[in-house]
Amino acid sequence: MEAESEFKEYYAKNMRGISGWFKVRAYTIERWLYAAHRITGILIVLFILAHFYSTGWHPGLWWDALLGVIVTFHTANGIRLILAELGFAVGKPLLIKKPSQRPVSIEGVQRYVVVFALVLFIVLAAIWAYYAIIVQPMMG
Amino acid sequence: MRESTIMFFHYITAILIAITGLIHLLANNEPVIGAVIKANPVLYFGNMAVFLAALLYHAFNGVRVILIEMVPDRCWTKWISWAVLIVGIVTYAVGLQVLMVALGFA
Repeated sequence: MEAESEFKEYYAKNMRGISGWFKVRAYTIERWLYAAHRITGILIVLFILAHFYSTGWHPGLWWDALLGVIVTFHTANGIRLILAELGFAVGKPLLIKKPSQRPVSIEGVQRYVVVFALVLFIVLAAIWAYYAIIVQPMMG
Repeated sequence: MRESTIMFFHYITAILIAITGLIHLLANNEPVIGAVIKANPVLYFGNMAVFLAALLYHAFNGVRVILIEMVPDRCWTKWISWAVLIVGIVTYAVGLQVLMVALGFA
């Protein structure tokens, strides 16, 4: 019991800080998505600050396509997070019987939601890149 | 406000950003649909007003969450929350002003 409270206290202090985002070894893909969600979020904030400061500024051509990758990833993964927050596609709670057993919330239907989010990300990023690289230069 | 309420609005604004952000992108990058949106300045301005509000809430709350997670301290949480709120409101006011000048409303 004492070990548990020490454990909780250690994590409440968040000693790992930002490096804790990247402690993804031996974790599931959701952990990677979490780290990527944070990084893309920060990058989008940096972009919108520049976009506000010099109104309408955007990096241009290939960089616009890269911006699209960042934004569409955040969007697609965000849809997955909203679904999970609202309790969709999480799966029924299950008693964990052995340490190696992974929670049902990342084993069952959540697998398909991850795949859906990644496919959606690729499709949206492709559409964005098409507009950034082909349509936007034609508009002048 | 309770942390769960703040996060609830975080998700609501996420959905709003997806809708209004799409309109914002179409208006500036899609030749046909963009012309229709830009022909209606009230729609364009209304969309931008909602988009800006939702985007600022979502972005500043995201930054706030990261900052208060870095330093788990009650006093720091309170100060950073107020600072983010004030900076957010000021940014929205300036942003609306810029928009209204650009679109000829002021």
